[in-house]
Amino acid sequence: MDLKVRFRFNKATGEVELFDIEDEGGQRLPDAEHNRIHDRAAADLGNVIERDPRVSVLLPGASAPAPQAETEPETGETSADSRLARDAQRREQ
Amino acid sequence: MCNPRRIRISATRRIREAWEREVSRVCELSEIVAGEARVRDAMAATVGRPALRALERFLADDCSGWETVEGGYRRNVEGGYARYCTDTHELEIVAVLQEEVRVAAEHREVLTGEIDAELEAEGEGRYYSDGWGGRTKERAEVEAQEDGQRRLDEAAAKSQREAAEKAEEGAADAVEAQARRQAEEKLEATRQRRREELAEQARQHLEAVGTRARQVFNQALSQAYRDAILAYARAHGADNIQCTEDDNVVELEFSFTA
Repeated sequence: MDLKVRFRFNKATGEVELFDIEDEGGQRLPDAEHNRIHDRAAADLGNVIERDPRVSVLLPGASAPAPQAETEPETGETSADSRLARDAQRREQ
Repeated sequence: MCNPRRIRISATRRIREAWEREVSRVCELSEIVAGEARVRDAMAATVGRPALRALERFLADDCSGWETVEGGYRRNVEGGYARYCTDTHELEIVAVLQEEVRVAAEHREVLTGEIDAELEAEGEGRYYSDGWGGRTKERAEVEAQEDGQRRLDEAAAKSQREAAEKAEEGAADAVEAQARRQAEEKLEATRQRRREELAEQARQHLEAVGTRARQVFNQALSQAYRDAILAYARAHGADNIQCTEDDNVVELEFSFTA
């Protein structure tokens, strides 16, 4: 599966504004296998910068989740710094 | 009139006199007192291990602008500093307020003593054998007696002064040490009080210091994210790697096959 990664970090706010792992669509795979590979790649990349990244699936045509929703830590820890709680995003093709 | 003649007499006096001397010493101390307020962010709880390792490599670099200190790295900002602890992987933000405090303490002691001494002095008078100008032998004898007494008075005063000075010399260190102890006690109390007051004031500045500290930390974090993600990209044979950076934003883009 060919993936394109886009990452944007705002140094002024400390926020990861974008971490998008997009399937470039060059390979046809069964849905289950496609999802497994895509999910694992997104989690691997998310783990590079974040301890427990959440992966959000963006379906074609869907807009990205609102930043505030994405920055909610799942563990309930207080995060004064939202940059640390950004999700790795997986975009479905 | 011919040459004057001299009469010398020896005078003695036994003295037993009390003396008193006040000894005082002032000790002034000053010290820079700092009050601090701090907050810690646990980076290891949120930042991924590859980025955390990249962050610590970046902070250790001489060009990072972070100073290596015991247990981590530190960077000063206006009103305080940021410190990254390598053991706990915590970012500590500290607001600092400091000022010089000065205290002074005086200690006095009254020293007393008694002189018991036999004093001797010589008095002198002059006369002319013809009594010229009224300077008769009788008058010279009176003058010699008076001169002897005056010298005895001087000797007695000198003895008192020397005894008091000697006593002061012996007591000076102790008086000075007591003044220092009092000053140190004052300084300790002042230090504690001001430290608490400054810490309270520092707490009011913590948010502003935190903003400045996180800004410099985010610069380091951006390098760490970039280095860690690029390392991942290269390890996975990525191509079309693009990295752009301006004052506020770092952007990365690459493609790879999973």
